[in-house]
Amino acid sequence: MKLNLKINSENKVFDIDVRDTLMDVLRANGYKSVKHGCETGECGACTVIVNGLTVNSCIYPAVKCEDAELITCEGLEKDGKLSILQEKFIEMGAIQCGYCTPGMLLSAHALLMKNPNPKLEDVKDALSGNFCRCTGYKKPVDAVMAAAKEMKGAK
Amino acid sequence: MQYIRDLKKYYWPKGPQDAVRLLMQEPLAEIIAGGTELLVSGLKGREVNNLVDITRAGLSYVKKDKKYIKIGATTTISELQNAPLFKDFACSILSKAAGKFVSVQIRNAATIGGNLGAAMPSSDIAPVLMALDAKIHVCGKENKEFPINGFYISKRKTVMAPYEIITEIEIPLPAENVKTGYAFEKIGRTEMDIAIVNGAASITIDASGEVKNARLSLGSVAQNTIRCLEIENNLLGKKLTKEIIAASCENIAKSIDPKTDVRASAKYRGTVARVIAARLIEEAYIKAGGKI
Ligand SMILES: Cc1cc2nc3c(=O)[nH]c(=O)nc-3n(C[C@H](O)[C@H](O)[C@H](O)COP(=O)(O)OP(=O)(O)OC[C@H]3O[C@@H](n4cnc5c(N)ncnc54)[C@H](O)[C@@H]3O)c2cc1C
Ligand code: FES
Ligand code: FES
Repeated sequence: MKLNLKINSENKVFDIDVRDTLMDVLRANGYKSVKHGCETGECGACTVIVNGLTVNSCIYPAVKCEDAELITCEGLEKDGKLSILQEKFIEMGAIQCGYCTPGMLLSAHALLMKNPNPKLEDVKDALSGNFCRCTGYKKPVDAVMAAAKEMKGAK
Repeated sequence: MQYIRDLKKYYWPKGPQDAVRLLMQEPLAEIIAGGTELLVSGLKGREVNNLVDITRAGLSYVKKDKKYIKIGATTTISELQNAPLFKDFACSILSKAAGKFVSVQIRNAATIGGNLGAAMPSSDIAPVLMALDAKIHVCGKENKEFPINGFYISKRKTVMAPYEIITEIEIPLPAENVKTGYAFEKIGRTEMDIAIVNGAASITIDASGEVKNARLSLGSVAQNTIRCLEIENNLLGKKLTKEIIAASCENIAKSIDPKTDVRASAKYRGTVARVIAARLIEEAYIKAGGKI
């Protein structure tokens, strides 16, 4: 069957099987930032943004995305330039192996789209569904707070 | 990973009757809402050929009239958490419970109907709805309604027939001139993890501080979320003190049947249940305006 959707502002049509998860479809079509982790909705490595809201794509039927607008990590940079959020993750050492990073970035991006002035608690809550086995959580949380501050300054 | 080996067709009914018709007519058919339970553990060992997705069936809403708050079955946990209506209703226990529900990603997909339909003893929503005396509206061959206390039969089992679906949750608004307080608690390995024990309470008092009405519900300590009727009765007609509360909860072991799993032992659950019960009663009593 055909699946029509918009990913990172581009219209796409994918050939899918009714049984595919969104993670399957995205990875098969080159969106390799979507990581394959636990497959049970716990680790957040497969996080993507669907119509403004983060979901775990490993437990999200692809058919639910007909006509949806998606953002994956590939869509965060503009014209070959990383977003402020991405820059802050690098600058502040919030990345080690990087496996959790796309999911973390998207959870943070979704938060900042809705709430440009997050409190520390808001950031912790937003990242609570993204497990990191390397950095711990302090640096990613700090990076999101710093990005929020800088984005406000940039406006 | 293809999530359901045997899946052949995926349906998008336009309304609840349409969904019920599909469930009756298609072989091996099952309702899906957010899918966060169904695709993780709900389908284990079962053959499903047809999924009926009710998230576009007009059941996502929160509204209020003179007597009730009504929540459509496919309202997500995020929507509950953020609905302004629940911020100042019943000491915000429903927003609080929704805010402690795992992760943002799961909250964005998981629905209130799916939470009740899954009938898991660890539900964070069921204890709150029990403290609020909610009713569950179900659509099948005819429309029915059930008080939430009695809706569950055993783990993963409700009173619903396989072709019936939950359409709405109805919460009665308390009368205006009564003093009622509410509380919600969740104990887990982390604040967001699936509960080791959770629970909710509502306590109504009169001008003198005597308890006129009490609800106490606990999760993860039996096959399903339970009401602790004996403890509720112990409180009626009394002005509460720490001693009275402790004495009322003393025999809690009789009302619960905790199990050991990866998160906690049955013994630990039993001890924590007693502590949580007492804490919930105290908090709800104080919020109602009672002095301890
Ligand atoms: C990692 C993880 C952590 C979790 N943590 C928690 C937690 O902290 N607290 C908690 O309470 N739950 C938790 N859950 C369980 C789950 O997310 C919830 O039970 C959720 O509310 C289910 O809703 P859903 O819409 O995704 O249901 P679905 O998965 O779509 O459905 C669940 C079941 O209910 C049936 N169903 C769905 N909608 C209806 C309806 N309207 N009428 C009748 N039957 C229906 C389905 O057929 C299925 O059998 C967790 C799950 C995961 C994967
Ligand atoms: S791979 Fe999806 S949550 Fe872990
Ligand atoms: S950087 Fe390795 S898992 Fe987070």
